[in-house]
Amino acid sequence: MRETDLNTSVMGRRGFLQASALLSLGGLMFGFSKAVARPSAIKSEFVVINGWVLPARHFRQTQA
Amino acid sequence: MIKDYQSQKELRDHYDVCIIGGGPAGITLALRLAGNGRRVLLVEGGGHEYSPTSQNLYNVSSSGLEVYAHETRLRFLGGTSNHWAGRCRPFEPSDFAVGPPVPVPGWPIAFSEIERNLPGAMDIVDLPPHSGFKAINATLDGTDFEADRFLLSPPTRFAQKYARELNETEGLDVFIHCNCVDLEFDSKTGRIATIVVSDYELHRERVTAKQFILATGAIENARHLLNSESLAAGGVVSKDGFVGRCFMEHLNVEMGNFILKDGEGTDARQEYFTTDAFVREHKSGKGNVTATLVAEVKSYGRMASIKSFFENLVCEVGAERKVEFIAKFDCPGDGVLGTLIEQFPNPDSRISLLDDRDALGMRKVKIHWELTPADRETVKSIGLEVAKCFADTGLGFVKLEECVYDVDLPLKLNPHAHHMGTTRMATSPEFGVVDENCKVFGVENLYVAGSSVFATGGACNPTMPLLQLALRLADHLNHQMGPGVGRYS
Repeated sequence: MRETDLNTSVMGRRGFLQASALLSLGGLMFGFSKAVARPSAIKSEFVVINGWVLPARHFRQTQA
Repeated sequence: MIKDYQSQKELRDHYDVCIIGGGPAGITLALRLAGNGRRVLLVEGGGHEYSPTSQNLYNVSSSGLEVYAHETRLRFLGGTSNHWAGRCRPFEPSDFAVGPPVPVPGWPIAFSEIERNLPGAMDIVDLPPHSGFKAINATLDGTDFEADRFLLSPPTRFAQKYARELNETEGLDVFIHCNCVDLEFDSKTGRIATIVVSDYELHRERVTAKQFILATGAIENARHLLNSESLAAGGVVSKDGFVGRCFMEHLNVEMGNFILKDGEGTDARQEYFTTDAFVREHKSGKGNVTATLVAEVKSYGRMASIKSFFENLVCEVGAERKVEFIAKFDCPGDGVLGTLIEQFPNPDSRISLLDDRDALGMRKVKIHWELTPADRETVKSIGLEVAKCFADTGLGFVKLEECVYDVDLPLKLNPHAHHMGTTRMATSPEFGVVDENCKVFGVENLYVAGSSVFATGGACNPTMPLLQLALRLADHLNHQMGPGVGRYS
């Protein structure tokens, strides 16, 4: 996969945290809790970053 | 016959039914009751067309959220149907079976009470009476959202469509420029004895009838009740009562925008609706979410920045760098999300009266409209879950406005011009203003028509349901008054 547009300036930790909102699904990128079960639905886990509601799996590879 | 009260002071001495307000509910009731042989008077404060003189009587002051009460209503024959968009979605059984999760009850009548008048209401607004309500897109996978189902009325302009019937129906007198300015309650009989009408030069006279129906919209219906000193003196309307309370709107929230994985080839507009399972699980209100592609996407195809978003999301670069990228990704997206979301009844959202009076001497209106924490949770739940469904189904990704999921921030929203609940239906005056037959508690011969009687508003457009209730009220009055064909002279 081509890597594009990720050479943005490094954000401070405060800005990083402000930009990343966590909604109902546990830790942001340092460990995710289980999603609240939704009957008969896919049990995906999500994070919200800068308003974007995104599957948590895309942010797992750098867990400590 | 339609007459102009400004120049034709030709009211009869007595009517079977006097209907105040010439909008969809009033016109429907007038034609049904006169068609069944009643001597009916329909009084409309405006004329045949828009005029500032009439419209300015709709000026209100407001606190809390902005209702745009002056702009969203129209004060002339045909009422607000004169700029109605025509969207029709019916109530569902669950709207009547499940009460709201707030300290006021839901509908006191069964769904069947309104369902039986659906074909009649559809016919009135020029929809094929037995056609199903249709989806314009596929459903979202999962159990939370289904494709919304609705029909579009042409839309029906009531004054134009029913002009001939209003002019020619035997037994029906329609007076324009005829403003009701007072309801005179006789506490000895428990009845409205007369109403007072006025032209624009303040010529006033009394009208007598056996039955009176308020059909002037949710704000004005409450205003008429609150404005009547005799109703207050008789104990029908009290400061702590429900008249004017529980004003509800449907919430048109600026939910956010979205990007599509496939981009081109997607329908320009998709509409989704919360399932009953969703509402149960989240203890939320119902809601429509409409996803609309922005014109630029349809014209010029996908933007490179959106393609890069998808590429960056799945590439192997490390989570922290992805987060940095996403945190700075500021793109208008492929489209926007709009909503039509249910608001729960809240006694603190209310119509009250000021001491100031309008040009006809009626006290002016103050509207206080607010959202409760439960309403904010409804918006948040619908926003988050529809965003998850977008991702789960592979449709794309949603960027929510921060105020959607941070309930401490002011919500960006607009009203839908769906005013409801200010004379709500209940089993007792402890929780409402009208009974199951739309009769005002404490008055033997005063009824209310329109969406002001809605106990809850669901997430359906109110015009067709209020017509269903108007037809039901016409049936009730025709039954109560007995045979009437040819009684007038």
